[in-house]
Amino acid sequence: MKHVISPYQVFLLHFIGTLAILIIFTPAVVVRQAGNDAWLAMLGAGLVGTLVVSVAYYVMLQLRGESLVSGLAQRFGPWPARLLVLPVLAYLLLATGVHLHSTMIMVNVGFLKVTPVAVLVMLTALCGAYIAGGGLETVARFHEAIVVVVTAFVLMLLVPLSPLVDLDAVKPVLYQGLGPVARGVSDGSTHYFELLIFLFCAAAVRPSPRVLGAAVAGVWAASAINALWAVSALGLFGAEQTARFIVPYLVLIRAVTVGEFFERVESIVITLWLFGVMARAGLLIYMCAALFYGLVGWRQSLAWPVAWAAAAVALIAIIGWPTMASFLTFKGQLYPFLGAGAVLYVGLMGVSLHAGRRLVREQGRGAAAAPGAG
Amino acid sequence: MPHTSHQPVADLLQAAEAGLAAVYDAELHAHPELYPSLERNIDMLYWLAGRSVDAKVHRFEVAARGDATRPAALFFLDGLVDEHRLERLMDRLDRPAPTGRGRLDAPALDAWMGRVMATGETDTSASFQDLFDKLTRGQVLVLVDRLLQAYAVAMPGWEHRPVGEPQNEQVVRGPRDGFVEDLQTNLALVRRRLRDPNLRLEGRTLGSRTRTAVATAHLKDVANPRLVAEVDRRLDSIRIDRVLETNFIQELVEDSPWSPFPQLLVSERPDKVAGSLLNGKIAIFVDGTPHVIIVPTVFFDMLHSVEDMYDRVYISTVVRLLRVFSFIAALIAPAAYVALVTFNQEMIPSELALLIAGSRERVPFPAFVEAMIMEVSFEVLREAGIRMPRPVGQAISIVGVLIIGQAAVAAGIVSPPMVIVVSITALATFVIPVFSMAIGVRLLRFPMLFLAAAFGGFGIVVGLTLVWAHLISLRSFGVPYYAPMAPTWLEAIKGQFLRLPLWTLRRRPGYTRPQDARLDPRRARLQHARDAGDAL
Repeated sequence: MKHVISPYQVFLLHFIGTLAILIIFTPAVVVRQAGNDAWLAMLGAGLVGTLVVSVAYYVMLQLRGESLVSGLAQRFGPWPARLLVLPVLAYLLLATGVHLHSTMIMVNVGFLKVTPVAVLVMLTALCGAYIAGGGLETVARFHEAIVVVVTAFVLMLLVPLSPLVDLDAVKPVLYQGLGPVARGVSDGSTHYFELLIFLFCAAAVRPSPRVLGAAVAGVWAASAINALWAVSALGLFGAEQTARFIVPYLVLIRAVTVGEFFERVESIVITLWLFGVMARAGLLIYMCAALFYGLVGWRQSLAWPVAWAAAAVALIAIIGWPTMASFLTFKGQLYPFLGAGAVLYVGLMGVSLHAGRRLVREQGRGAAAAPGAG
Repeated sequence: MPHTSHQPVADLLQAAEAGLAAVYDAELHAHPELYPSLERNIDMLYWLAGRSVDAKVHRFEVAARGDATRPAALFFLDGLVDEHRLERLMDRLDRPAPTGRGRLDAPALDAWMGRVMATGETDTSASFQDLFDKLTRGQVLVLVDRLLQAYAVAMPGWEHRPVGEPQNEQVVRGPRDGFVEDLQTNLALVRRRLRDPNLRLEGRTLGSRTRTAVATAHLKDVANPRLVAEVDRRLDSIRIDRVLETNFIQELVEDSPWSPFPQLLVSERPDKVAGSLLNGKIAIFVDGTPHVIIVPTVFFDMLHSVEDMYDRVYISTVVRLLRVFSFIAALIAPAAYVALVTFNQEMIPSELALLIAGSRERVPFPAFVEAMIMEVSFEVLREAGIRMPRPVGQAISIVGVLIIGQAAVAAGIVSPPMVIVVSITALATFVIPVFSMAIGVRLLRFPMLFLAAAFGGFGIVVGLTLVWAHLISLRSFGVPYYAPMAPTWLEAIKGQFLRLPLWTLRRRPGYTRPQDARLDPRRARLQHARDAGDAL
């Protein structure tokens, strides 16, 4: 099998994308639940991420270098396989739409108050599609190329703030027991379910413990940095105030100054963060396009599936998601359940593939042992 | 058009000429090789040369011991052969030369030719087309009656520029010789630096009409054979009537010809070409141009100067990083200024913001229009400066800088900070060592300006993402263009992105997949030797 992406790239695919999405989603909801122990809950959410990645790895092993659609087609036939992957495609499209909409809301709030979110979403979808158009290799290399930018982003949020942070604000640890932390983990792991994307590396990497280790390391690195930021936010504003902010890290960024000269650097930090957003958008659109590709069977180029995927996610982000948002997130809290459901669903697919393979093996053994065989 | 009395005669002549050409064409097609008749061969070659004034014939006789003689002739194109050598040859040929045992058969004539041309390159051919090619390469043909082959003596002697310092790749420290328009000279310049028996120089002819000599060079035990085969395949697949410069090859073999970034490096420096060959790359030489193509090329090669390897390690590393910074500045500096002034004023420190606001008070245009005026004016000035004769070009630069810049500021059309930004951008563009890369950056600066004017910092991120993703998706002869950063080759980063000391570079750049990846381990030993010296 062709080794298109390296374990280091697998690490970056998980690390950069997760970091880009965690920064805007997890802190406030987790602090609301876990208070001063929010940073522990964010580390704990890494466990959920590890679980998701492990499920994806298990399915990847069953696929044996095939894509999800072709692997299922071998087991169930082409049309049932297409029907089976439809829910996964729907979840991925929704996740990408959520990503685009939410990140562009933050850009709108922090950067461009007059520009409509729809325009920002379309531009980000365009960038994502351009990255995805080069295939997984280009997506992975883009992650590799922006490592410098991401490092600068992480350091800009940690180093200038470190003298201002009061570590006593996060003490005592576990003063309300494990309950709030567990609830924090539950709320903080919403976007870890999107790590099912690891599954789509199946046709590009040779599954090995090293590859799994790289993915898990990526998840944990992102979780650890997220926890450090949470410590910074808690140490600077306290749990009560942090829980009140919609995007606490945006407020945190505003506290960053460089020397006496640069009083406001949030535009620089958001600019650096945006590269992570673009990388994540590219990855997610590629994954959607890969599924489109498998479903429709375009043979020549990835351009059409990528264009369709980008158009679909832009549409979801502009029209679909805002309509559904209140139902899915704030009232029903359905989005995390959708994620968990998708992981379970994919896990069951893996079990079924495994069982099918075992059945074929046993039938083969039975046929060989039958009288007159050979 | 008025019908003159000469018209029918002219038409008749034209028709006769066309008929004659058809006859010669048919004859050449039916019989592409030499005839026994000397006169017929001369006539055919004369026709192939277009009956040109520069086609010259010198007749003589080959004499054997006894009375046996045969008519013979020299055929050459005047201006392409060395006159002194030609005179010496004629002198020797005019003297009756004994040809062995009194017979004038082919072996005897070969021996005679060997004696006449004791030194120098002599070749034989029977094909008219091949002989004509040889004529155009400065060879003199020796035709003998009733001999079904001709001798071709290499006597190239056309005028060419002497080896001098390259105009576009000057260095403070390092060799001063540069390639010239003569292929043989260029190959010799590389051979002088690489006295390696594994150096392979292979030739071919490209361009159905220009019949341009093209040569490739590589180190047999270093370059990846698949890369060599790929270069050969792409060159052999070229179907074009002209190869007047390397760009005629470049555009036809590049992986992505629509990209604004060049994917092949072009150099005028023999030391740079030799260094590239040692890194497992392949050089393509084209006769008639001092520019040599180096393949494969990565993005960071475009930001290197050969001088980096001749300077101190720290200086070279800092200068290389400075070039990366300059590349980014050349691409986005005006866009960043427009974004800051228009969208993100809070980013600018208070005192500086007041200063900029004060200077922009009288300017009636938004920052974007101001930037466009300055950028377009600057590009026009630069283009004018390049195209004008040198003394006038300098005058235009002075006019541009002093008069237009200062007058524009005084008139309140542009603000002084904008002049500073555009000047810094221009300087940053000049820091990029490869001109074709600098042109690409100049081109992309305008869409970046538009994006910044419309979406501020977000627009710059969108633009940079597209440029970055484009760079990453490019390939040069199958090698990822953004290597060694993406995909990451740590060993190559040491020597290609940074410039670490020579003894730390243990391997050739991995992205060329060289056969012999290890560099000379004696380099590492030099370090030990130095340590030993300290101990003593």
